[in-house]
Formats: sequence, C-alpha cells, structure tokens
Amino acid sequence: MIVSPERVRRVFALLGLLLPLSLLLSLSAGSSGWIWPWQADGSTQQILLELRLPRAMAALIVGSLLATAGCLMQVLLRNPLADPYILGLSGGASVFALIGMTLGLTWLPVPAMAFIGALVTTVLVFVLGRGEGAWTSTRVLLTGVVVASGWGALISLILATGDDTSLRGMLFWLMGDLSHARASALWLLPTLLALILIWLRSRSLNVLSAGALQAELLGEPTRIRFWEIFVAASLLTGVAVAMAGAIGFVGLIVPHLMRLLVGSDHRRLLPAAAAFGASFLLIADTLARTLLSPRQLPVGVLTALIGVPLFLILLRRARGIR
Amino acid sequence: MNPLLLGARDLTISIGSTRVVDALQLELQPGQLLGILGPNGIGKTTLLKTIAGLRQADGGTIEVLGRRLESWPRRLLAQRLGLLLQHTQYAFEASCEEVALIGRHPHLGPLARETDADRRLARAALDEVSLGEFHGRSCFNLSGGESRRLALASLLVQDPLLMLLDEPTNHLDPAHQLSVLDLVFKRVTEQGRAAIMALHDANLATCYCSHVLLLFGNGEWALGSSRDLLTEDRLSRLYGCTIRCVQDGEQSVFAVGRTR
Repeated sequence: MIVSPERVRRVFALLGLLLPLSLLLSLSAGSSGWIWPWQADGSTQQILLELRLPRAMAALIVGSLLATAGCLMQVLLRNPLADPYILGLSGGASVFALIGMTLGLTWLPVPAMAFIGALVTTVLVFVLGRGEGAWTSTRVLLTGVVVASGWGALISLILATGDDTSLRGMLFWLMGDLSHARASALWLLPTLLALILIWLRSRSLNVLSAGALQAELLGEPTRIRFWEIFVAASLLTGVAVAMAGAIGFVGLIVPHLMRLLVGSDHRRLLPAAAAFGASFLLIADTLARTLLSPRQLPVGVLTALIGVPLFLILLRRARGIR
Repeated sequence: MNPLLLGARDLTISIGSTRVVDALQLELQPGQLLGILGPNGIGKTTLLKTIAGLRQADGGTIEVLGRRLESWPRRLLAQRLGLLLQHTQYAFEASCEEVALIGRHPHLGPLARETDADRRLARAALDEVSLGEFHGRSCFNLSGGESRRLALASLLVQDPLLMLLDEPTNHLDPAHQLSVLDLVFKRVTEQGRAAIMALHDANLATCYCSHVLLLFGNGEWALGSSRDLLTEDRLSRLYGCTIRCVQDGEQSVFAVGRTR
C-alpha cells in the first residue's frame, strides 16, 4: 500500500491531536477519581502535578524512545519483526540495571548500567548473528530470541537469590511499570541528542534499509552508521528500561502501524512513530492505572495484551516478511 | 590529462583458495563497454564487487579516475561509480519513484531534501526503463523483470561515470534485454561514460561490448576486443560445452548445440 501525501498530512494532524487528548485523559483519570485539570483545587491539584503529570511525562518519553529504538532495530535487521524487546536489548538492560541495584553500585547510575547492558546485548546479537560478511536477518533474530531468554533466566536467578522485601517492586519494574518512573535531566539530555542525531540521519536510514551493500554503493560508510545505530538504539532502550522496566511490543507494533499509515521513508516514519509511541504508552498506562482501580497493573502486561493480538493480525496481513 | 576511467594493475582476487583473476591488467576509457563472460561461480560478481570497492583485492591496485580506489571517500566515489547488484530485495514497502529516487542519495547533502528536479530525474529514469506508469506503484507488486528494471532506474538516477552491471539482463524478456542494453550503450557512447557488465549471452556481448574479459577459472583470463576474442573454440572451452558460430549476414550468432 502506497500512501498519498494528503493522507500523510491527515495522519500527522491526527497524531498531533492525539497527543494532547491522551495527556488530558491521563491527567483526568485515576484511582482518586476523575479530575478535570481546570477544575483542580488544593489537594486535587497536588495529585495532578505531583503524581499524574510526572508519570504522564515519563510515559510519553518512554513510549517515544521505545518506538524509535524499534524503528532502528528494524532497519538493522531489514525486517519489520525486530524490536529491542524481542532482540534481548531490554532484557540485557534489565539484568545490568538489576545487578547495579543489588550490588549497590551507587557510583554508576541505573541508566548507565542499563545502557551498558543494552549495548552488550546489541554487540553480542549482531556479532554472533553475523553470517559470512552480511547479517542474515533470521540468524540475528534467532540469536536475539535466545539471548533474550538467557537474560530472562539471569533475571529469575537474581530475583530468586534476592531478599523478599523488594521482590514485588522489582517484579513490577521488570514487567514494565511506570509508577516510579522519574526522568532525570542528566540522562534525558544525551537521549534527546541521540534522537536528534537519528532524525538527521533519516535519509541514511532509508538507504540502509536497502541493505548494507546497496548502502555502501550509495556512499554510506555503513560500518560507522551501524555503530551509530547500535549506540543510539542501546541508549534509547537503556534509558527507557531504567525509567520504566522492560515494556514490550511498543517498539514492534508502533513502527509497524506507522509504516502502514505514513510509509517507510524515515523522515516521516520516525516522527510518526515517536508521536504515536508516546500517545500509545500514555493511554496504555492510564488504562493500567484505572482498569482494576485501586489496584494498579504493570503497563508492560497491558501493552503485551494489546500488542500480541494486534501483532498477529498485522502479521497475517503484512507482505514482504520473510 | 589522463582520460582513464578505470585502471587495474596486477589485480589478483581469490575467493578462499580459488583464484578469480591472476595479475589482471585492465584499462577502461570513456566510451568503452566491457563484458565479463565466464561460467557460473567463476567470480564475475566478486570481480565487480572488488572494482566497486566492496571487498579487498588480494593483490594489485585499482584506480578510478586516476585515484586509488581505497583513498576515495565513499560518497564521492558513489557519485562516480555505481554497481547494479545481481539481486535486489526490498525489505520495506515503497513506491517505485521512492526506490528510483534513492539513487540521488550520494548527490545530496546529509540534510538536503530531494527537490522537484531530483523527482523529475527519477521519473525520467523510470520512463527510460519503461516503468513510467509505475511511479506510484508499490515495489512489492512488481514482476521479476520489472523489479530488475527498477533497480536499473535507481542506478540511472545515481548517474555514475563508471557503471558496473551484474547480469543486467536477468529476468528480462528479449525485447527488454535489448532496450536495457541499448540504454547502457547510449549512455556509454554518447556521454563519455564506461560500463562493465557481467553477461551470460555471448550474442549480447557481440552486439554491445567493445571489449570482453573471459574468466576461465584458476585465475586465467583473456582480455581483448569482442571481435577478436569471441570465437567458437574459445567460447566452447570457456563454458565446457559445444558452442557453434553461425553467420547470419553481417552478424555472427553463437548457438548452443545439445551434447549427446
């Protein structure tokens, strides 16, 4: 399906509308009842500004980071089935972050550990998955799946040997949970820089989607570009995991849907995916907070519950997936 | 002023322990069209990839426009040298115009967007490969031959002085084989470019190539004008089967006889 420029404009208009609407929804809804932001007073204002707003901001940021990282993984693999969760980046980030926390490495902040974990996984997966001279997408994907389950086992090990008091919190965080997510400006700055760098490289990403050989022939220094993508995707994933744990399916579903709506040109795809990823996670988190209120669900459970059936439907309809 | 587009000296290439060429001496001037012929798996693609700088030679030097291949910055090289790969696979859906437009990549600054002029170039290239009507169509909805011509359109948009083509006539019906090679021939002879193409059809090589390079295996090669080099005996030895030359007026036609 090829999208017309008019349709792309309409999609972007809708995405632009969806962002403030989802923000309004997430601020208004919650376990302490529906609060219109403009009617808030005293105590309700405190709930809005100190509880709901920071959490909403974290959801917006994490959603856009994961969606962008998903786009990058899909370019690397030349396969719309890739995302940082499936390939084990989120798992690696979680394990390293957990190790940092349990060992009490206070001199190394959690986002740094998560970034290192994601980067180690990226290099591991893409070096191990590398065939004769070129990556075969199946091999990398399989390597990623296996490495991801390896991280899963390590996580269970750390949890099983850890003390019981922190178990529930850690478990929630591992499933993807925004209730304690706070963004530290120190880490958002390099992340924002990486995002801008990726956006500036959009046309190169288009060329890389045609394959490493073709990209090289069209003048891209592919080795450097791949390392840029490795580092950027690991940073985005690491920061997202440090903020909210391993949330799956956002990096998979969002780019996939946006590809259908605005096409494969990354100059349109990246902003669309970032915007929709932000709204999507914010709405999912609002649902997670309110569906079984006052009980709260980890948002990762919800994204998986939405993501799995949606993904299966898309997969049935998608072409060009080998 | 050295008009040499490509110069290879003592070029030695191996795949594992198999020699592709041993001490190849090759010079390509503007207006020349060189055909590479040889049996399957003899290393035609490897030779083209080496000349395009995608892999290292085992020995010898390659110069493009008088400058050592490895000292060219990739983007500047891509403005002058292009290679039509044997296989193109599209991972993500795009329109034919978008695919053709990708050839402008090395000519645009990192932050520049394609202009209307670039878009006109892409449309013109699609017209040239008779895909003009297809500009809005998805690259997933193409036949093998159409997909091949789309890849060629990208190369035409890239507009290199030195065109390398790996089996450009793959998947094409006879009429499109001729029109595609006509296109390359015209660019080479009228615009002072040069082309090297791997071919399997000695007849097409006779029609279009000023020179041919035969690869026999074990590093043995023969380079010369196609008129001198393309003979019954040599082609039969090259492919290891009987190939006869039939005269049809001015044109000599190579025919494959069934071996019994």
